[in-house]
Amino acid sequence: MTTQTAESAIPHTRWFSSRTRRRIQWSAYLYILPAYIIIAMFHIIPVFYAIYIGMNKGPINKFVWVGFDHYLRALTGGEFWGSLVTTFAYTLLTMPFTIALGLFFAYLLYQPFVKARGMFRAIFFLPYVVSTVGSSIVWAWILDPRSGLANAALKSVGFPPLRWLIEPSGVFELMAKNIGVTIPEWAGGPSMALVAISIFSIWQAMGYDIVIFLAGLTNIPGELYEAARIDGASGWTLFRHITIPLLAPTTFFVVVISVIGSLQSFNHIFTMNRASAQSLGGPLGSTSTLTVYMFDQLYTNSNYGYATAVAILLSLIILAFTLFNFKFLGKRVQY
Amino acid sequence: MKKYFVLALALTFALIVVACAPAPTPTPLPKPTAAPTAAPKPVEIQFWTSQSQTQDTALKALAAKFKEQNPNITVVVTYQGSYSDAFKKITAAIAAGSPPDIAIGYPNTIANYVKSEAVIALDDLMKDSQIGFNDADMKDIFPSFIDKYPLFGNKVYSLAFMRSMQVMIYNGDMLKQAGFAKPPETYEDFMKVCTALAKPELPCYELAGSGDASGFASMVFSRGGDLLSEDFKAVLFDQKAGLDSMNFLGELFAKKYAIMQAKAYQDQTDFAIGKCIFGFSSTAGLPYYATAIKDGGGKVTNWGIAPYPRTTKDPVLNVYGPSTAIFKTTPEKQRAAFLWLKFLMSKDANADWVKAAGYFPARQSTKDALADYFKTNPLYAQAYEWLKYGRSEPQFTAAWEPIRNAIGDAMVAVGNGKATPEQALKDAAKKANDAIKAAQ
Repeated sequence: MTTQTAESAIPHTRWFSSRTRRRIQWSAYLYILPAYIIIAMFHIIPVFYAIYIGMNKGPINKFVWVGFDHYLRALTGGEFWGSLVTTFAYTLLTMPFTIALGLFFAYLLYQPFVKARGMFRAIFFLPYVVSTVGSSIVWAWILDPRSGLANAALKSVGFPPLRWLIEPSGVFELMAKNIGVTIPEWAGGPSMALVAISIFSIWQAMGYDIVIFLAGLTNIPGELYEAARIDGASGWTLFRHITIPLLAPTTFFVVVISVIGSLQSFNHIFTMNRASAQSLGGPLGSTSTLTVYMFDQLYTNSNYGYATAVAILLSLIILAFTLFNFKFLGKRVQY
Repeated sequence: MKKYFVLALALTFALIVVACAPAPTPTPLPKPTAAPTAAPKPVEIQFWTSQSQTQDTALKALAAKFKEQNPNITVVVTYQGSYSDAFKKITAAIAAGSPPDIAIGYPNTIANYVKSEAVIALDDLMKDSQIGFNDADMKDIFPSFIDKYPLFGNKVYSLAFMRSMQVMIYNGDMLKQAGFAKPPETYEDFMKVCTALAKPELPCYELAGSGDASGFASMVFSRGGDLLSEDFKAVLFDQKAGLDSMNFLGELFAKKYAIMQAKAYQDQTDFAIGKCIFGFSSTAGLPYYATAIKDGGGKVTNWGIAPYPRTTKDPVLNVYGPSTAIFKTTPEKQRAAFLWLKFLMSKDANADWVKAAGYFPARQSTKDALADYFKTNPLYAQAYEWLKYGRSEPQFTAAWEPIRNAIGDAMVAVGNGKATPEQALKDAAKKANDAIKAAQ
């Protein structure tokens, strides 16, 4: 009876809500259908097609199934690992400096004594929105060994000129040579050309980090700083114990995005190679990151299957790094 | 509503299936035809090119002239970007089952189309009694304009209606300063000029960071050597002529007579302002040298071209360049495309093209139609006489691009002091052999 009473008390409501829920479900599926179709056609299906291509070789309309041969070739060959090392070197040369400088300038701009903050923010952000191809070419001119501004600046302060984008030697090797020491090639470090490209990359990406950090800084409640100051904290102490911990979610976001961006870098490397009369990934492959290597295999060597296998391996590497960041760095972030 | 949902799901599934379908299994291309029949009906053919601006205009004008002679055939000339861009587009078009009817490309990219079975062998069309070449035509056409592909049964898969030649460009006034009345004909004399004049601010030679495989081929040819075996299955550039060439390059850099370029076309701009003694370029680049010299403010007034220095009795020059291939379409279109290509290789049309583009013509008889052009372009006229000494770099294999890169890297490694000439050539030969295996 109790059950009957309960049922009779709300039969109409249950019937109505059931119909309503069902109607909302059907229409919701219809609404999201176009999005699903687009995602399926332009994201999901191409991914599976790429996996398929990566297991084939030969001309694109005459594929021959080779299974995991391309993956084995990549993982057992020197070129793939060489490009991976270059990719990691590039990431290490760019990401920490971009984040550190981005945080530094954001913190500086956040200070109350800074006037025209919006203008400075726009100035710093400008390189990020300017065409990468255009700015890369301008930087290649700046880094021209004979007539570039960079060497003129070095000369003005008494330093010898550098070959920048055309120098395949490692920076440690060059430093050692300057003091008359010869070091083995494996200890030569990243090439000067890769360092030059990294300088451009830091200049370009820093503005984005500044804007994100500034947004993060404005979310920190001002009363925390006031309370800390009343307790006698100032300068570095405030930064170390209030700013850095409370910026952790922002920093985490910037780290994740920067790692992904660095691993995927291509446009400016390609353009600066070409503008400095180098082969793709040159000089002598010293700027051949995985994306450049992949492009070269695809368009120079017409190895569609192998290039796609390399692309998939790069995706897995990016995925692994992102998961690592979430698992180990994400834990330290307090929201 | 459930009905709509099921319908929508079915539609989604159908779209996904449709989207999937052409990718793994591209639309099959029409079957090749051994002997195309006549095409009495109007036919339109798509001609994809990498020729822009004035050259594009010239090709369109020739297409209009062709239409006057062949009212049933309309040629649509479409510029598809650089050779590299056109290759990407054609590769995608082949995969989609809709290639152009005829296209210009470097023979090594055409070799990729041959591997895809997307282009037709032209041997039968060339011999066709109605539209093919007769004996007089075959005698008139320079052999290096008929492309045989050794890895594909030595069949002709492309024909060229233009070629250029790798030459040395010299500053006559500087040669006089070095005590030479004419450009050096031997490598010893070349080195003497460098010894007399060259310094880091005034090099003898500037090497691009991508190397210069066509230049290296010229150096090897001029020493009586070759890059690949006749069947394109073995590397020869690591033998004596190649090693001597690489050693010569190493010596130029060791003595600081040569520098690495830091900007695209730096060799050209430096030569134009008197900051480089020699330039090395294809004849297609000569108009750019002329413009750069004109813009250089009169710093170079006496310049000319010559074959590369040599150890052989006669000069041997690298004659190379883009060719034209016909894609598998319908017999009518293939026939029409061949007629168009034959027209482009004909005396008068070829002469019009030469005047617009500055390339060398496919026929010896074209010379008669170029008398005025020779008068106004003496450097071109001079180079034309060397065509009889021409031979082509081994560009008729898909492996040629990676081989070029391997040779280029070897030159750059030597130029940067990162490898000895022997080691650099050994590394390049290994890479080249890998590319040859992959291309077979």
